[in-house]
Amino acid sequence: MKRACLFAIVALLCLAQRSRDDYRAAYQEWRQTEPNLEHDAAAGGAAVPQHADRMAGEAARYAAARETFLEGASQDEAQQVSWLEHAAASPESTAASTKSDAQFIVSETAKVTRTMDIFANDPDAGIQQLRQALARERNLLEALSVSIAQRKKAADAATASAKVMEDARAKAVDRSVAMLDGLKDASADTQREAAAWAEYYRKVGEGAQGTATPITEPPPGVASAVLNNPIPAPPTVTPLPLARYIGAWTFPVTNGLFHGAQPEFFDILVHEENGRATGTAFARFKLPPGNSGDPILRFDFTGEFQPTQRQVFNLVTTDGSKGTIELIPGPAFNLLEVNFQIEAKPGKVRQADVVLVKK
Amino acid sequence: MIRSASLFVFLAIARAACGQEKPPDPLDALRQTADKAAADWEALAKGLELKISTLLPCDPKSRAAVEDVSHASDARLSALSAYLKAAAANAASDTDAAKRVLAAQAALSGGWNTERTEAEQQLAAIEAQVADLKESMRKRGSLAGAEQVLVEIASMVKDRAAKADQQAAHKGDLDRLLGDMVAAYADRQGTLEKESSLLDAERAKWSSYYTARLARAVTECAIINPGAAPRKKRP
Repeated sequence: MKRACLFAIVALLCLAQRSRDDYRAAYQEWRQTEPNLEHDAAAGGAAVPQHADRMAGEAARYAAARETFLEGASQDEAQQVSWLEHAAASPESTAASTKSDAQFIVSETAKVTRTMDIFANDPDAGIQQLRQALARERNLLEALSVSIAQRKKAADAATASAKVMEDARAKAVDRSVAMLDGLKDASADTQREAAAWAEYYRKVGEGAQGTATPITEPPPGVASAVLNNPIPAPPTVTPLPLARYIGAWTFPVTNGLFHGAQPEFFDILVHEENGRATGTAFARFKLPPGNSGDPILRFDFTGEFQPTQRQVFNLVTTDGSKGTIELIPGPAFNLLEVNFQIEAKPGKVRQADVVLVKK
Repeated sequence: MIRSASLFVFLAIARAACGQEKPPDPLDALRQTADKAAADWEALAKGLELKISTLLPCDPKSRAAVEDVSHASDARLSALSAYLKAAAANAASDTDAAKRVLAAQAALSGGWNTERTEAEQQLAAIEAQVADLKESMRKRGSLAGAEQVLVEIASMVKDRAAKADQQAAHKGDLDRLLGDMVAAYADRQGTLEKESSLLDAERAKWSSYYTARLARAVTECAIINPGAAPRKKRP
Protein backbone atom coordinates (compact mmCIF):
# COMPACT_ATOMS: atom_id res chain seq x y z
CA MET A 1 0.00 0.00 0.00
CA LYS A 2 2.81 2.37 0.91
CA ARG A 3 4.52 1.63 -2.39
CA ALA A 4 1.25 2.27 -4.18
CA CYS A 5 1.06 5.70 -2.50
CA LEU A 6 4.59 6.50 -3.51
CA PHE A 7 3.79 5.31 -7.02
CA ALA A 8 0.83 7.71 -7.12
CA ILE A 9 2.99 10.58 -5.83
CA VAL A 10 5.64 9.87 -8.46
CA ALA A 11 2.91 9.84 -11.13
CA LEU A 12 1.62 13.19 -9.88
CA LEU A 13 5.10 14.69 -9.90
CA CYS A 14 5.47 13.76 -13.54
CA LEU A 15 2.36 15.77 -14.29
CA ALA A 16 3.39 18.80 -12.21
CA GLN A 17 6.85 19.96 -13.20
CA ARG A 18 8.06 22.95 -11.18
CA SER A 19 8.11 26.21 -13.04
CA ARG A 20 10.92 28.74 -12.84
CA ASP A 21 8.72 31.45 -14.32
CA ASP A 22 7.94 33.20 -11.02
CA TYR A 23 11.50 33.82 -9.89
CA ARG A 24 12.65 34.60 -13.44
CA ALA A 25 9.96 37.27 -13.70
CA ALA A 26 11.00 38.63 -10.28
CA TYR A 27 14.63 38.70 -11.44
CA GLN A 28 13.77 40.62 -14.61
CA GLU A 29 11.72 43.11 -12.62
CA TRP A 30 14.55 43.59 -10.13
CA ARG A 31 17.12 44.12 -12.86
CA GLN A 32 14.96 46.58 -14.75
CA THR A 33 13.98 48.65 -11.72
CA GLU A 34 17.09 50.87 -11.43
CA PRO A 35 19.56 49.67 -14.03
CA ASN A 36 21.80 52.76 -13.61
CA LEU A 37 22.02 52.76 -9.83
CA GLU A 38 25.77 52.10 -9.71
CA HIS A 39 26.40 54.86 -12.24
CA ASP A 40 24.04 57.31 -10.54
CA ALA A 41 25.62 56.65 -7.15
CA ALA A 42 28.67 58.69 -8.17
CA ALA A 43 26.57 61.84 -8.30
CA GLY A 44 25.03 61.10 -4.91
CA GLY A 45 21.91 62.84 -3.71
CA ALA A 46 18.81 61.86 -1.78
CA ALA A 47 17.34 59.83 -4.65
CA VAL A 48 20.13 57.23 -4.63
CA PRO A 49 19.31 55.75 -1.18
CA GLN A 50 15.62 55.63 -2.19
CA HIS A 51 16.47 53.83 -5.42
CA ALA A 52 18.77 51.49 -3.52
CA ASP A 53 15.91 50.70 -1.11
CA ARG A 54 13.64 49.88 -4.04
CA MET A 55 16.27 47.62 -5.50
CA ALA A 56 16.72 45.91 -2.12
CA GLY A 57 12.96 45.21 -2.06
CA GLU A 58 13.02 43.76 -5.57
CA ALA A 59 16.07 41.66 -4.75
CA ALA A 60 14.29 40.29 -1.69
CA ARG A 61 11.21 39.44 -3.79
CA TYR A 62 13.37 37.59 -6.28
CA ALA A 63 15.12 35.68 -3.48
CA ALA A 64 11.77 34.69 -1.94
CA ALA A 65 10.44 33.45 -5.31
CA ARG A 66 13.62 31.51 -5.97
CA GLU A 67 13.53 29.94 -2.52
CA THR A 68 9.94 28.85 -3.13
CA PHE A 69 11.03 27.20 -6.35
CA LEU A 70 14.04 25.50 -4.73
CA GLU A 71 11.99 24.28 -1.79
CA GLY A 72 9.45 22.78 -4.21
CA ALA A 73 12.22 21.13 -6.21
CA SER A 74 13.71 19.78 -2.96
CA GLN A 75 10.35 18.29 -2.02
CA ASP A 76 10.08 16.65 -5.44
CA GLU A 77 13.57 15.25 -5.15
CA ALA A 78 12.82 14.04 -1.60
CA GLN A 79 9.85 12.07 -2.98
CA GLN A 80 12.10 10.46 -5.59
CA VAL A 81 14.59 9.55 -2.89
CA SER A 82 11.80 8.17 -0.71
CA TRP A 83 10.52 5.93 -3.52
CA LEU A 84 14.02 4.71 -4.25
CA GLU A 85 14.65 4.01 -0.58
CA HIS A 86 11.44 2.01 -0.20
CA ALA A 87 11.52 0.14 -3.51
CA ALA A 88 13.61 -2.78 -2.24
CA ALA A 89 12.68 -6.11 -3.85
CA SER A 90 10.59 -8.46 -1.67
CA PRO A 91 12.40 -11.58 -0.50
CA GLU A 92 11.76 -14.67 -2.63
CA SER A 93 9.52 -17.42 -1.32
CA THR A 94 11.32 -20.57 -0.19
CA ALA A 95 8.54 -22.43 -2.00
CA ALA A 96 9.90 -21.02 -5.26
CA SER A 97 13.12 -22.91 -4.65
CA THR A 98 13.27 -26.05 -6.78
CA LYS A 99 15.69 -27.84 -4.46
CA SER A 100 13.10 -30.07 -2.72
CA ASP A 101 11.40 -30.89 -6.02
CA ALA A 102 14.69 -31.86 -7.63
CA GLN A 103 15.67 -34.02 -4.65
CA PHE A 104 12.24 -35.69 -4.71
CA ILE A 105 12.53 -36.46 -8.41
CA VAL A 106 16.01 -37.96 -8.02
CA SER A 107 14.94 -40.08 -5.07
CA GLU A 108 11.68 -41.33 -6.66
CA THR A 109 13.36 -42.03 -9.99
CA ALA A 110 15.98 -44.14 -8.19
CA LYS A 111 13.32 -46.09 -6.29
CA VAL A 112 11.22 -46.70 -9.40
CA THR A 113 14.27 -47.78 -11.37
CA ARG A 114 15.35 -50.16 -8.60
CA THR A 115 11.91 -51.77 -8.50
CA MET A 116 11.83 -52.05 -12.28
CA ASP A 117 15.23 -53.73 -12.23
CA ILE A 118 14.03 -56.28 -9.66
CA PHE A 119 11.18 -57.31 -11.95
CA ALA A 120 13.15 -56.99 -15.16
CA ASN A 121 13.12 -60.69 -16.12
CA ASP A 122 9.87 -61.76 -14.47
CA PRO A 123 7.56 -63.22 -17.15
CA ASP A 124 4.46 -62.97 -14.97
CA ALA A 125 1.77 -60.94 -16.78
CA GLY A 126 0.74 -59.07 -13.62
CA ILE A 127 4.36 -58.17 -12.87
CA GLN A 128 4.85 -57.00 -16.45
CA GLN A 129 1.79 -54.80 -16.01
CA LEU A 130 3.34 -53.38 -12.85
CA ARG A 131 6.62 -52.83 -14.67
CA GLN A 132 4.80 -50.88 -17.37
CA ALA A 133 3.15 -48.71 -14.69
CA LEU A 134 6.57 -48.07 -13.19
CA ALA A 135 7.97 -47.22 -16.62
CA ARG A 136 5.20 -44.65 -17.18
CA GLU A 137 5.90 -43.23 -13.76
CA ARG A 138 9.62 -42.95 -14.52
CA ASN A 139 8.93 -41.24 -17.84
CA LEU A 140 6.77 -38.68 -16.08
CA LEU A 141 9.46 -38.16 -13.42
CA GLU A 142 12.00 -37.53 -16.17
CA ALA A 143 9.67 -35.01 -17.85
CA LEU A 144 9.20 -33.30 -14.48
CA SER A 145 12.95 -33.21 -14.01
CA VAL A 146 13.32 -31.23 -17.26
CA SER A 147 10.52 -28.82 -16.28
CA ILE A 148 11.96 -28.28 -12.82
CA ALA A 149 15.38 -27.52 -14.32
CA GLN A 150 13.80 -24.94 -16.63
CA ARG A 151 11.92 -23.33 -13.75
CA LYS A 152 15.13 -23.29 -11.68
CA LYS A 153 16.84 -21.39 -14.49
CA ALA A 154 14.04 -18.80 -14.52
CA ALA A 155 14.10 -18.55 -10.70
CA ASP A 156 17.89 -18.07 -10.73
CA ALA A 157 17.51 -15.35 -13.37
CA ALA A 158 14.87 -13.62 -11.21
CA THR A 159 17.22 -13.72 -8.23
CA ALA A 160 20.12 -12.39 -10.33
CA SER A 161 18.05 -9.53 -11.77
CA ALA A 162 16.83 -8.68 -8.25
CA LYS A 163 20.47 -8.35 -7.20
CA VAL A 164 21.33 -6.10 -10.18
CA MET A 165 18.20 -4.09 -9.42
CA GLU A 166 19.19 -3.66 -5.77
CA ASP A 167 22.75 -2.59 -6.65
CA ALA A 168 21.51 0.01 -9.15
CA ARG A 169 18.82 1.18 -6.74
CA ALA A 170 21.29 1.63 -3.86
CA LYS A 171 23.65 3.65 -6.09
CA ALA A 172 20.75 5.71 -7.45
CA VAL A 173 19.67 6.47 -3.87
CA ASP A 174 23.17 7.78 -3.05
CA ARG A 175 23.28 9.95 -6.16
CA SER A 176 19.74 11.24 -5.62
CA VAL A 177 20.52 12.11 -2.00
CA ALA A 178 23.55 14.10 -3.23
CA MET A 179 21.25 15.93 -5.65
CA LEU A 180 18.78 16.61 -2.84
CA ASP A 181 21.63 18.01 -0.73
CA GLY A 182 22.60 20.17 -3.72
CA LEU A 183 19.11 21.64 -3.88
CA LYS A 184 19.15 22.35 -0.14
CA ASP A 185 22.57 23.99 -0.57
CA ALA A 186 21.22 26.13 -3.40
CA SER A 187 18.38 27.24 -1.15
CA ALA A 188 20.84 28.19 1.62
CA ASP A 189 23.01 30.00 -0.96
CA THR A 190 19.98 32.00 -2.07
CA GLN A 191 19.41 33.11 1.53
CA ARG A 192 23.06 34.14 1.91
CA GLU A 193 23.00 36.02 -1.39
CA ALA A 194 19.76 37.75 -0.39
CA ALA A 195 21.38 38.96 2.84
CA ALA A 196 24.43 40.17 0.91
CA TRP A 197 22.27 42.06 -1.62
CA ALA A 198 20.44 43.80 1.23
CA GLU A 199 23.81 44.79 2.69
CA TYR A 200 25.04 45.95 -0.72
CA TYR A 201 22.08 48.25 -1.36
CA ARG A 202 22.35 49.64 2.17
CA LYS A 203 26.01 50.47 1.53
CA VAL A 204 25.26 52.02 -1.87
CA GLY A 205 22.70 54.25 -0.17
CA GLU A 206 25.12 55.20 2.59
CA GLY A 207 28.04 55.66 0.20
CA ALA A 208 26.06 58.01 -2.01
CA GLN A 209 25.37 60.39 0.84
CA GLY A 210 27.57 63.36 1.71
CA THR A 211 30.23 65.11 -0.31
CA ALA A 212 31.96 63.15 -3.02
CA THR A 213 35.55 62.22 -2.16
CA PRO A 214 37.44 60.61 -5.02
CA ILE A 215 39.76 57.71 -4.57
CA THR A 216 42.88 58.97 -6.26
CA GLU A 217 44.28 55.57 -7.03
CA PRO A 218 42.80 54.07 -10.18
CA PRO A 219 41.33 50.63 -9.56
CA PRO A 220 43.27 47.57 -10.82
CA GLY A 221 42.78 46.96 -14.52
CA VAL A 222 41.76 50.53 -15.28
CA ALA A 223 44.37 52.26 -17.40
CA SER A 224 45.56 55.67 -16.30
CA ALA A 225 44.53 58.58 -18.46
CA VAL A 226 47.24 59.86 -20.84
CA LEU A 227 47.15 63.54 -21.70
CA ASN A 228 48.08 64.78 -25.15
CA ASN A 229 49.93 67.74 -23.72
CA PRO A 230 51.09 66.54 -20.32
CA ILE A 231 52.05 69.06 -17.70
CA PRO A 232 54.41 67.85 -15.02
CA ALA A 233 52.65 67.08 -11.78
CA PRO A 234 53.08 69.77 -9.13
CA PRO A 235 55.90 68.90 -6.80
CA THR A 236 54.85 67.43 -3.51
CA VAL A 237 56.51 67.98 -0.19
CA THR A 238 57.11 64.28 0.39
CA PRO A 239 60.13 62.58 -1.20
CA LEU A 240 57.89 59.71 -2.32
CA PRO A 241 54.64 60.15 -4.26
CA LEU A 242 51.66 60.95 -2.09
CA ALA A 243 49.98 57.82 -3.37
CA ARG A 244 52.37 55.86 -1.14
CA TYR A 245 50.54 57.35 1.89
CA ILE A 246 47.01 58.26 0.92
CA GLY A 247 44.07 55.99 0.08
CA ALA A 248 42.36 53.05 1.75
CA TRP A 249 44.62 50.47 3.37
CA THR A 250 43.76 47.22 5.10
CA PHE A 251 45.37 44.41 7.06
CA PRO A 252 45.51 41.31 4.81
CA VAL A 253 43.32 38.38 5.83
CA THR A 254 46.22 35.94 5.55
CA ASN A 255 49.94 36.21 6.30
CA GLY A 256 49.66 39.74 7.67
CA LEU A 257 52.82 41.16 9.29
CA PHE A 258 52.61 42.83 12.71
CA HIS A 259 54.43 43.54 15.94
CA GLY A 260 52.64 43.82 19.26
CA ALA A 261 48.89 43.20 19.34
CA GLN A 262 47.63 41.07 16.44
CA PRO A 263 44.84 42.73 14.43
CA GLU A 264 41.73 40.82 13.44
CA PHE A 265 41.18 43.66 11.03
CA PHE A 266 42.74 47.06 10.59
CA ASP A 267 41.42 49.62 8.08
CA ILE A 268 42.84 53.04 7.59
CA LEU A 269 41.84 55.82 5.23
CA VAL A 270 44.27 58.68 4.48
CA HIS A 271 43.35 61.88 2.62
CA GLU A 272 45.49 64.77 1.50
CA GLU A 273 44.39 68.35 0.88
CA ASN A 274 46.77 71.23 0.33
CA GLY A 275 49.66 69.30 1.80
CA ARG A 276 47.72 68.36 4.90
CA ALA A 277 46.87 64.78 5.85
CA THR A 278 43.65 63.68 7.51
CA GLY A 279 42.78 60.12 8.23
CA THR A 280 40.75 57.63 10.22
CA ALA A 281 41.62 54.21 11.53
CA PHE A 282 39.35 51.42 12.67
CA ALA A 283 40.71 48.16 14.05
CA ARG A 284 39.96 45.16 16.19
CA PHE A 285 42.73 43.21 17.93
CA LYS A 286 43.03 39.69 19.26
CA LEU A 287 43.48 39.90 22.99
CA PRO A 288 45.38 37.30 25.01
CA PRO A 289 43.14 34.67 26.70
CA GLY A 290 41.68 36.00 29.92
CA ASN A 291 42.19 39.61 28.93
CA SER A 292 38.87 41.44 29.27
CA GLY A 293 40.12 44.66 27.67
CA ASP A 294 38.54 46.51 24.76
CA PRO A 295 39.71 44.98 21.44
CA ILE A 296 38.23 47.81 19.35
CA LEU A 297 40.26 50.87 18.42
CA ARG A 298 39.12 53.94 16.46
CA PHE A 299 41.06 57.11 16.00
CA ASP A 300 41.40 60.13 13.72
CA PHE A 301 44.68 61.71 12.83
CA THR A 302 45.83 64.86 11.09
CA GLY A 303 48.96 66.84 10.33
CA GLU A 304 51.14 68.38 7.64
CA PHE A 305 53.05 66.13 5.25
CA GLN A 306 56.81 66.57 5.85
CA PRO A 307 59.72 66.25 3.40
CA THR A 308 60.64 62.92 4.96
CA GLN A 309 59.93 59.36 3.99
CA ARG A 310 58.29 58.59 7.33
CA GLN A 311 55.28 60.72 8.13
CA VAL A 312 54.26 61.27 11.75
CA PHE A 313 50.85 62.69 12.70
CA ASN A 314 48.98 63.30 15.92
CA LEU A 315 46.02 61.09 16.64
CA VAL A 316 43.02 61.24 18.94
CA THR A 317 41.00 58.13 19.77
CA THR A 318 37.20 58.10 20.08
CA ASP A 319 37.56 58.10 23.88
CA GLY A 320 39.83 61.16 23.77
CA SER A 321 43.22 59.51 24.23
CA LYS A 322 46.09 61.11 22.38
CA GLY A 323 49.05 59.65 20.58
CA THR A 324 51.00 59.55 17.35
CA ILE A 325 50.82 57.53 14.18
CA GLU A 326 53.73 56.93 11.84
CA LEU A 327 53.17 56.03 8.17
CA ILE A 328 56.12 54.27 6.57
CA PRO A 329 55.93 53.36 2.87
CA GLY A 330 56.65 49.67 2.43
CA PRO A 331 59.09 47.94 0.09
CA ALA A 332 56.33 47.56 -2.50
CA PHE A 333 54.11 50.28 -3.91
CA ASN A 334 50.98 48.83 -2.30
CA LEU A 335 52.40 48.30 1.21
CA LEU A 336 52.28 50.77 4.10
CA GLU A 337 53.66 50.16 7.56
CA VAL A 338 51.64 51.82 10.31
CA ASN A 339 53.13 52.30 13.73
CA PHE A 340 51.07 53.97 16.43
CA GLN A 341 51.46 54.76 20.10
CA ILE A 342 48.69 55.99 22.37
CA GLU A 343 48.83 57.16 25.95
CA ALA A 344 48.25 54.26 28.31
CA LYS A 345 44.73 53.65 29.59
CA PRO A 346 43.53 50.52 31.40
CA GLY A 347 42.00 47.92 29.10
CA LYS A 348 42.89 49.81 25.92
CA VAL A 349 45.24 48.88 23.09
CA ARG A 350 48.10 51.38 23.24
CA GLN A 351 50.52 50.41 20.55
CA ALA A 352 50.98 48.25 17.48
CA ASP A 353 52.98 48.04 14.31
CA VAL A 354 51.25 46.52 11.27
CA VAL A 355 51.89 46.28 7.56
CA LEU A 356 48.79 47.14 5.48
CA VAL A 357 48.01 46.61 1.81
CA LYS A 358 46.30 49.11 -0.41
CA LYS A 359 42.66 48.31 -1.11
CA MET B 1 -16.02 25.80 7.87
CA ILE B 2 -16.87 23.77 4.79
CA ARG B 3 -13.32 24.24 3.63
CA SER B 4 -12.01 22.94 6.98
CA ALA B 5 -14.31 19.94 6.82
CA SER B 6 -13.18 19.16 3.28
CA LEU B 7 -9.57 19.42 4.36
CA PHE B 8 -10.28 17.10 7.29
CA VAL B 9 -11.92 14.53 5.02
CA PHE B 10 -9.03 14.79 2.57
CA LEU B 11 -6.50 14.31 5.35
CA ALA B 12 -8.48 11.35 6.72
CA ILE B 13 -8.52 9.69 3.30
CA ALA B 14 -4.86 10.44 2.76
CA ARG B 15 -4.07 9.02 6.18
CA ALA B 16 -6.10 5.90 5.46
CA ALA B 17 -4.45 5.50 2.06
CA CYS B 18 -0.90 6.30 3.04
CA GLY B 19 -1.18 5.62 6.78
CA GLN B 20 1.82 5.67 9.02
CA GLU B 21 1.10 2.10 10.14
CA LYS B 22 2.11 -0.18 7.34
CA PRO B 23 -0.74 -2.58 6.47
CA PRO B 24 0.25 -6.20 5.82
CA ASP B 25 1.61 -6.73 2.32
CA PRO B 26 -0.66 -9.17 0.39
CA LEU B 27 2.46 -10.66 -1.16
CA ASP B 28 3.76 -11.53 2.32
CA ALA B 29 0.57 -13.49 3.07
CA LEU B 30 0.81 -15.34 -0.26
CA ARG B 31 4.47 -16.09 0.42
CA GLN B 32 3.68 -17.52 3.85
CA THR B 33 0.86 -19.66 2.44
CA ALA B 34 3.12 -20.96 -0.33
CA ASP B 35 5.93 -21.72 2.13
CA LYS B 36 3.60 -23.61 4.48
CA ALA B 37 1.97 -25.58 1.65
CA ALA B 38 5.41 -26.52 0.31
CA ALA B 39 6.51 -27.71 3.75
CA ASP B 40 3.30 -29.75 4.14
CA TRP B 41 3.77 -31.49 0.77
CA GLU B 42 7.45 -32.19 1.46
CA ALA B 43 6.62 -33.85 4.79
CA LEU B 44 3.87 -36.02 3.27
CA ALA B 45 5.93 -36.91 0.18
CA LYS B 46 8.95 -37.98 2.23
CA GLY B 47 6.81 -40.14 4.54
CA LEU B 48 4.75 -41.77 1.79
CA GLU B 49 6.94 -44.83 1.11
CA LEU B 50 7.35 -45.61 4.81
CA LYS B 51 3.62 -45.29 5.38
CA ILE B 52 2.68 -47.54 2.46
CA SER B 53 5.30 -50.16 3.35
CA THR B 54 3.32 -51.01 6.51
CA LEU B 55 0.04 -51.46 4.60
CA LEU B 56 -1.25 -54.24 2.37
CA PRO B 57 -1.47 -53.22 -1.32
CA CYS B 58 -5.27 -53.34 -1.26
CA ASP B 59 -5.63 -51.49 2.00
CA PRO B 60 -7.77 -48.38 1.25
CA LYS B 61 -5.33 -46.41 3.43
CA SER B 62 -2.66 -47.09 0.83
CA ARG B 63 -4.59 -45.31 -1.95
CA ALA B 64 -5.65 -42.57 0.47
CA ALA B 65 -2.02 -41.92 1.42
CA VAL B 66 -1.07 -41.42 -2.26
CA GLU B 67 -4.11 -39.19 -2.79
CA ASP B 68 -3.19 -37.10 0.27
CA VAL B 69 0.28 -36.43 -1.14
CA SER B 70 -1.26 -35.65 -4.54
CA HIS B 71 -3.67 -33.14 -2.99
CA ALA B 72 -0.87 -31.58 -0.98
CA SER B 73 1.15 -31.27 -4.18
CA ASP B 74 -1.79 -29.56 -5.94
CA ALA B 75 -2.24 -27.22 -2.98
CA ARG B 76 1.41 -26.20 -2.82
CA LEU B 77 1.68 -25.68 -6.59
CA SER B 78 -1.51 -23.67 -6.53
CA ALA B 79 -0.22 -21.50 -3.66
CA LEU B 80 3.14 -21.04 -5.35
CA SER B 81 1.43 -20.10 -8.61
CA ALA B 82 -0.69 -17.46 -6.80
CA TYR B 83 2.43 -16.08 -5.15
CA LEU B 84 4.41 -15.93 -8.41
CA LYS B 85 1.54 -14.26 -10.28
CA ALA B 86 1.24 -11.62 -7.54
CA ALA B 87 5.02 -11.15 -7.46
CA ALA B 88 5.06 -10.70 -11.25
CA ALA B 89 2.18 -8.18 -11.02
CA ASN B 90 4.07 -6.28 -8.30
CA ALA B 91 7.20 -6.35 -10.43
CA ALA B 92 5.21 -4.88 -13.34
CA SER B 93 3.98 -2.02 -11.11
CA ASP B 94 7.54 -1.48 -9.85
CA THR B 95 8.83 -1.35 -13.41
CA ASP B 96 6.26 1.31 -14.34
CA ALA B 97 7.08 3.31 -11.19
CA ALA B 98 10.82 3.04 -11.87
CA LYS B 99 10.24 4.38 -15.40
CA ARG B 100 8.34 7.33 -13.97
CA VAL B 101 11.14 7.98 -11.45
CA LEU B 102 13.62 7.90 -14.32
CA ALA B 103 11.56 10.48 -16.24
CA ALA B 104 10.98 12.73 -13.21
CA GLN B 105 14.59 12.48 -12.10
CA ALA B 106 15.84 13.30 -15.59
CA ALA B 107 13.76 16.48 -15.51
CA LEU B 108 15.03 17.42 -12.03
CA SER B 109 18.67 16.68 -12.71
CA GLY B 110 18.42 18.49 -16.05
CA GLY B 111 17.58 21.59 -14.01
CA TRP B 112 21.22 21.87 -12.90
CA ASN B 113 22.25 22.93 -16.40
CA THR B 114 19.66 25.70 -16.16
CA GLU B 115 20.97 26.62 -12.70
CA ARG B 116 24.51 26.92 -14.05
CA THR B 117 23.46 28.98 -17.06
CA GLU B 118 21.39 31.33 -14.93
CA ALA B 119 24.20 31.75 -12.39
CA GLU B 120 26.65 32.54 -15.20
CA GLN B 121 24.27 35.13 -16.65
CA GLN B 122 23.80 36.68 -13.22
CA LEU B 123 27.55 36.75 -12.71
CA ALA B 124 28.02 38.62 -15.99
CA ALA B 125 25.43 41.17 -14.86
CA ILE B 126 27.15 41.59 -11.49
CA GLU B 127 30.53 42.05 -13.13
CA ALA B 128 29.04 44.88 -15.20
CA GLN B 129 27.70 46.38 -11.96
CA VAL B 130 31.16 46.11 -10.37
CA ALA B 131 32.70 47.92 -13.35
CA ASP B 132 30.10 50.72 -13.08
CA LEU B 133 30.61 51.00 -9.37
CA LYS B 134 34.40 51.14 -9.70
CA GLU B 135 33.96 53.98 -12.13
CA SER B 136 31.70 55.75 -9.64
CA MET B 137 34.26 55.17 -6.90
CA ARG B 138 36.71 57.36 -8.83
CA LYS B 139 34.42 60.23 -7.94
CA ARG B 140 33.07 58.92 -4.67
CA GLY B 141 35.41 56.83 -2.53
CA SER B 142 32.68 56.18 0.05
CA LEU B 143 31.24 53.56 -2.32
CA ALA B 144 34.22 51.30 -1.55
CA GLY B 145 32.24 49.38 1.08
CA ALA B 146 29.45 48.66 -1.40
CA GLU B 147 31.98 47.59 -4.00
CA GLN B 148 33.53 45.16 -1.54
CA VAL B 149 30.11 43.55 -0.84
CA LEU B 150 29.34 43.38 -4.55
CA VAL B 151 32.61 41.58 -5.21
CA GLU B 152 31.69 39.12 -2.44
CA ILE B 153 28.30 38.55 -4.07
CA ALA B 154 30.03 37.90 -7.39
CA SER B 155 32.16 35.31 -5.64
CA MET B 156 29.05 33.65 -4.14
CA VAL B 157 27.33 33.50 -7.52
CA LYS B 158 30.49 32.10 -9.08
CA ASP B 159 30.53 29.36 -6.42
CA ARG B 160 26.87 28.68 -7.13
CA ALA B 161 27.63 28.26 -10.82
CA ALA B 162 30.48 25.87 -9.99
CA LYS B 163 28.25 23.79 -7.70
CA ALA B 164 25.53 23.63 -10.35
CA ASP B 165 28.15 22.58 -12.88
CA GLN B 166 29.31 19.80 -10.57
CA GLN B 167 25.73 18.56 -10.08
CA ALA B 168 25.06 18.79 -13.82
CA ALA B 169 28.14 16.62 -14.41
CA HIS B 170 26.57 13.91 -12.20
CA LYS B 171 23.35 13.98 -14.20
CA GLY B 172 24.77 11.46 -16.69
CA ASP B 173 25.72 9.07 -13.87
CA LEU B 174 22.29 9.26 -12.32
CA ASP B 175 20.50 8.80 -15.63
CA ARG B 176 22.65 5.74 -16.34
CA LEU B 177 22.06 4.28 -12.86
CA LEU B 178 18.33 4.80 -13.10
CA GLY B 179 18.36 3.39 -16.64
CA ASP B 180 20.14 0.27 -15.32
CA MET B 181 17.65 0.09 -12.50
CA VAL B 182 14.67 0.27 -14.86
CA ALA B 183 16.24 -2.43 -17.06
CA ALA B 184 16.79 -4.63 -13.98
CA TYR B 185 13.19 -4.07 -12.83
CA ALA B 186 11.96 -5.03 -16.29
CA ASP B 187 14.25 -8.11 -16.32
CA ARG B 188 12.94 -9.20 -12.95
CA GLN B 189 9.37 -8.74 -14.09
CA GLY B 190 10.11 -10.81 -17.21
CA THR B 191 11.81 -13.61 -15.31
CA LEU B 192 9.03 -13.78 -12.70
CA GLU B 193 6.42 -13.98 -15.46
CA LYS B 194 8.42 -16.73 -17.14
CA GLU B 195 8.82 -18.59 -13.84
CA SER B 196 5.06 -18.34 -13.28
CA SER B 197 4.29 -19.63 -16.77
CA LEU B 198 6.76 -22.52 -16.40
CA LEU B 199 5.20 -23.44 -13.08
CA ASP B 200 1.74 -23.60 -14.67
CA ALA B 201 3.09 -26.06 -17.25
CA GLU B 202 4.83 -28.02 -14.51
CA ARG B 203 1.63 -28.33 -12.50
CA ALA B 204 0.04 -30.46 -15.24
CA LYS B 205 3.06 -32.78 -15.18
CA TRP B 206 2.88 -33.19 -11.41
CA SER B 207 -0.78 -34.04 -11.76
CA SER B 208 0.03 -36.68 -14.40
CA TYR B 209 2.77 -38.08 -12.20
CA TYR B 210 0.48 -38.51 -9.19
CA THR B 211 -2.18 -40.06 -11.43
CA ALA B 212 0.45 -42.57 -12.57
CA ARG B 213 1.56 -43.12 -8.98
CA LEU B 214 -2.04 -43.90 -8.02
CA ALA B 215 -2.38 -46.20 -11.05
CA ARG B 216 0.65 -48.11 -9.81
CA ALA B 217 -1.03 -48.61 -6.42
CA VAL B 218 -4.14 -49.96 -8.21
CA THR B 219 -1.96 -52.30 -10.28
CA GLU B 220 -0.14 -53.58 -7.18
CA CYS B 221 -3.48 -54.40 -5.57
CA ALA B 222 -4.77 -56.04 -8.73
CA ILE B 223 -1.73 -58.37 -8.84
CA ILE B 224 -2.21 -59.47 -5.23
CA ASN B 225 -5.97 -59.64 -5.31
CA PRO B 226 -7.40 -59.68 -8.82
CA GLY B 227 -10.83 -58.06 -8.97
CA ALA B 228 -10.40 -56.13 -5.73
CA ALA B 229 -8.83 -52.83 -6.57
CA PRO B 230 -8.07 -50.68 -3.52
CA ARG B 231 -11.08 -48.50 -2.88
CA LYS B 232 -10.99 -45.03 -1.78
CA LYS B 233 -10.80 -44.78 1.94
CA ARG B 234 -14.01 -43.53 3.44
CA PRO B 235 -13.49 -40.63 5.72
